[in-house]
Amino acid sequence: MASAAPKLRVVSGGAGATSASALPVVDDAQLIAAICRAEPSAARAFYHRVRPIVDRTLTRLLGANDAEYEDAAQLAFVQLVQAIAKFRQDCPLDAWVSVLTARVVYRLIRERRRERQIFSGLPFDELAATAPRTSGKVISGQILERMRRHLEGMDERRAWTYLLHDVYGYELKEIATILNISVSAAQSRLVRGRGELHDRVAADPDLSRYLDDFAKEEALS
Amino acid sequence: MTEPRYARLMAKVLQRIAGEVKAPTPAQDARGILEIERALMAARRRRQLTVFGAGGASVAAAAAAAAWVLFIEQKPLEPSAQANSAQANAALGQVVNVLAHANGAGVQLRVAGHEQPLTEDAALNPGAAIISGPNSQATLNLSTGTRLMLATRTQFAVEQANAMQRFQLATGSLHAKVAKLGKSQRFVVATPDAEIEVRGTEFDLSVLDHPGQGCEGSHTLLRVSEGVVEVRAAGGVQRIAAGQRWPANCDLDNLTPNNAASTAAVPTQERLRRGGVLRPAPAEPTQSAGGPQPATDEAATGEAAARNSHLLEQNDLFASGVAARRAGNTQAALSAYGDLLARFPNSPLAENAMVERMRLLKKSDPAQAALEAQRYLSRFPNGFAHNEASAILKEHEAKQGGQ
Repeated sequence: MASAAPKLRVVSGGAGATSASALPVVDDAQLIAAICRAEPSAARAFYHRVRPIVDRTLTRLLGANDAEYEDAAQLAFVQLVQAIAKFRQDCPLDAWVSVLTARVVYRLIRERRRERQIFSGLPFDELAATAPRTSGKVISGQILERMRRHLEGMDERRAWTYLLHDVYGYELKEIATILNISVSAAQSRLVRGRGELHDRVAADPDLSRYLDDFAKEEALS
Repeated sequence: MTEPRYARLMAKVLQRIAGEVKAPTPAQDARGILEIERALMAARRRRQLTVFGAGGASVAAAAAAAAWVLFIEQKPLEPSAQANSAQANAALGQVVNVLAHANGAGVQLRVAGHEQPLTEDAALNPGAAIISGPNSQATLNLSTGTRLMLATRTQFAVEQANAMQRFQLATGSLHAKVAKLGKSQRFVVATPDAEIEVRGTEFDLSVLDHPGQGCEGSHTLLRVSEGVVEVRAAGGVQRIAAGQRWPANCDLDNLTPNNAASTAAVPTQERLRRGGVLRPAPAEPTQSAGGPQPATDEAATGEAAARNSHLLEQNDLFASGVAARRAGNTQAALSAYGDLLARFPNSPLAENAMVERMRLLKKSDPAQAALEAQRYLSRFPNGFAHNEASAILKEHEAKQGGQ
């Protein structure tokens, strides 16, 4: 007698079965159309298309070692499916996925109600442990800790805007979407955030000296 | 204004310290695909309901309500004026129509003491009861949008069907997805020893033949997936939130996969939220010839529905664990992950569930965490949480050595 069809066929495979390379190549427009039609068969292709972007965004904003990393990823997938009908395709899919994932992270962190940990995701500790080099200069754990403290000491909204724009390269329009504010509010927060951070660092002799040295090395290289 | 030079320089430094992106594990891949599938199915359901709600409501006969419910099942994408009218009537809290649909032979309809087989879809008036057999289930669609899925060997009666929707579950199990109610509407299910009242939520409810261990003598077992449910029993009232169960200690954690599979009283093994079909779910979906077969009248969608039911169930259990953990309810979270492991030991989410349990226990019960870590390492020697589990074990051993 023929056995029943495998009920876990969609997900029960190993690494090979879930490999993106085994999937048929479809362009973004086709994929988006299939998701808009709510076709379950498109789930796997969509997942493999967006997962790297979601991971990249989460790693940057939340940190790869965050306890809620995977939860945030799952939440991002759901949000992406729910919002895809509104995606006008006036920007690349990657950018849109990144913005939506960033919004998930932002909300998640706010929900934690632990403001002082908003930047815990930045890989300061990992970096301090491995002592990476920037422009030939070792960043000490102490310097990283100072940077973290200054960011944490800032107005949270300004700090987020500064990080998203100046560090992670989101445009103001995207930041407005992530933070659910107007573009002009994002612009205002950015300008004020930069000013506030500058003043804080200027009052910190060790960090300002480090950054001055960094600027000189940058100029030389 | 001063040029914010240090802010610019600090951004340059921070840009260079991006963390390393870790590749997702197969279990994480599986969970991600499950989430997307689930969201797609939810989107599909929402779209179907939206189509119905989009047209203008007009006055219509109450008889149209039955047609509306049938319409949802059979032609969900075509709007109907009659359907809208019935829905509007229901929303006004006038008459709530209940349509019963048998899934498999052996469902009996009892009206005024007389039983007859439920062969065609039938409208249930107050006083009517549905009795499912050992190999059959039934689905009840209410014109409010609420759906009740009765498991095998279940006896369920309609007591009131207007602004007060009151039902009685004498024996067996049901899964309820209750639509949002109007201000004056109420939804109540009475069991022999409790009364369950909800407002727009989702839950599993069972009447056990014999109260299990830790069930405080209660024959009723409730597990809430979404929203809040009020339980009135033994003169007391309790609110049970998503991820929680009632009675609180009546859990399935200690059941091994085998006895979980054979425990007929465990209700939530019989649950399906899709396609109007309820099938008994095995402890673990397998390809064995003895496993449940999809209904033949749904050949086109049956297999997918059955597959998705198991996936959804696993995902629901995991999600309820996550929700409970986020709500700070460690016991409920442990319980949900435990259920998942007991009922679907080979689930793609099993590794994640074990890791979640290990992490929760690490905070609340380090000795148990060490046991969980040991189990994890023996089952997933190269799992993604290998280092974490080893650290928990080492820490525990160090403590033991210190003592």
